[in-house]
Amino acid sequence: MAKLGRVTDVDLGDPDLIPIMSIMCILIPMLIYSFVFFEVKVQEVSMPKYGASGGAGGPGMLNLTVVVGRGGFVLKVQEGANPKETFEIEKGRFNICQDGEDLECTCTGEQFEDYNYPELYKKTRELKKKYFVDQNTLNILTLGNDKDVIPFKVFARTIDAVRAELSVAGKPDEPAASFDNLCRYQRATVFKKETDAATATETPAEGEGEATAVAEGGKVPSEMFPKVVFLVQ
Amino acid sequence: MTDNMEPMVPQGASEAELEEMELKKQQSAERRAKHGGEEKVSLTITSLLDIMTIMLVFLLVSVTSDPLNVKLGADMQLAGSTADITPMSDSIAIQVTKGNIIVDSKNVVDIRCQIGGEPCTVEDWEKMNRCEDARDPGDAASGKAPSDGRFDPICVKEVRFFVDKQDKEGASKDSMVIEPLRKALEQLVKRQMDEDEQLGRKFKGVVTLVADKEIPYSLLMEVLYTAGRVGVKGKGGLSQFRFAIKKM
Repeated sequence: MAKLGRVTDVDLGDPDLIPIMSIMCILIPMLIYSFVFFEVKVQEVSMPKYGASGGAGGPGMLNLTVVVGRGGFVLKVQEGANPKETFEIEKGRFNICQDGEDLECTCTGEQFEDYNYPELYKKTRELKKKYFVDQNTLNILTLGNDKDVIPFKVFARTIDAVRAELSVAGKPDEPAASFDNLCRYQRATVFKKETDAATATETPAEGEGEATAVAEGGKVPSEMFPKVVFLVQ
Repeated sequence: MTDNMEPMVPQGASEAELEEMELKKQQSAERRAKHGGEEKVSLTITSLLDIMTIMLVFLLVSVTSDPLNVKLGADMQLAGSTADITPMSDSIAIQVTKGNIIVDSKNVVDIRCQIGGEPCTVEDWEKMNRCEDARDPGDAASGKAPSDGRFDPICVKEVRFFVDKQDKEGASKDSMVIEPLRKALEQLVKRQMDEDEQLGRKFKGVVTLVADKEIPYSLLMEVLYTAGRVGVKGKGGLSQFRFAIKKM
């Protein structure tokens, strides 16, 4: 026979949160340590072409090649393998700039030598309007021993200079034809133009849907040469 | 009667009884003081735990949402760019640091670094990383001009990064194929293809190259060429390439 006893309420008391707090105090600093405080994006490039002098477009077609060397850039407009026009853009000397008000910069600091990206942008834009209105592929090449020393950061900025039209910081409604110094060029933003109905409804190619830049507010980047082909000779 | 309880004073208590109760009160106070006070002070940490839980969830989501999981350090600094394309979560990442090539979190090939024929040190790498940073913004009021790490002598020296010829196809210095990288990629691609087949997905063959900003053109092309050679008969291979950059 079961013993009858008084039912008493058992007071469990407040839960001990200190062990949980100890775990939190270890986990959170670890996660903050592994936290990434910058945004990682990607530049899309095509499969490199080896030993090809004609580059994109094939023989007989006009193509634009940027040769990156230790002394600067050489822009070559070629018809197949035949050169049509060549422009040399030597490295420039630029002043270090102090941040100023209203997006202006005062560039009066010590001088340093760097690739002339503003001039490359200016020239590429001119050639795009003159020869390559319907073409969006550009070749990048490095010759000889230069390919062992020119670092990836130069190519990343070269791709930036030729990929899309830029606008002066604070003036997003018109594309800039040129920039008078490196500081203003570095502060430039990608110029975006209104997208037309045909482009807006176009379905992206398979496998490329995620790689396209997002159209913001009906505007898309005004592209110059979004496709880059690396040549290896 | 416990120490915390005040004894009830019975009605009509005599003087002696009152004295005894006072004495007991005094003794209990002394015992409390002796034991350092038995008053329990409770700390309310429930609110703090709420904050910690929210922070934990936020950090977990942030850490796991980065498909490339790039860890910056002396041997890995991404190049800056204004590109705005989001990396794909199911791309194959090949990490090329100043010291090695990493695939699937495993080091597959060592990279040699030389400055003027001498091997590089970690200090050299740190100086190289500062070559583009404005470390001293200067002071417009006092007229002090800005200056930065780009004036370190190492910034104008030629630094060579290369893979030893023993790691190349046919042990040839001129070969574009890095053998250990090719083998590691083949295993990874095969595994990913099998997974995609089981899940009914199409294998996209996208490679994301997470390269340090100082890696030269020649080494990048060797990595891309090696990746381009990887494929499975009848199933395709790696055909789309992307460079990871740090958004400026």
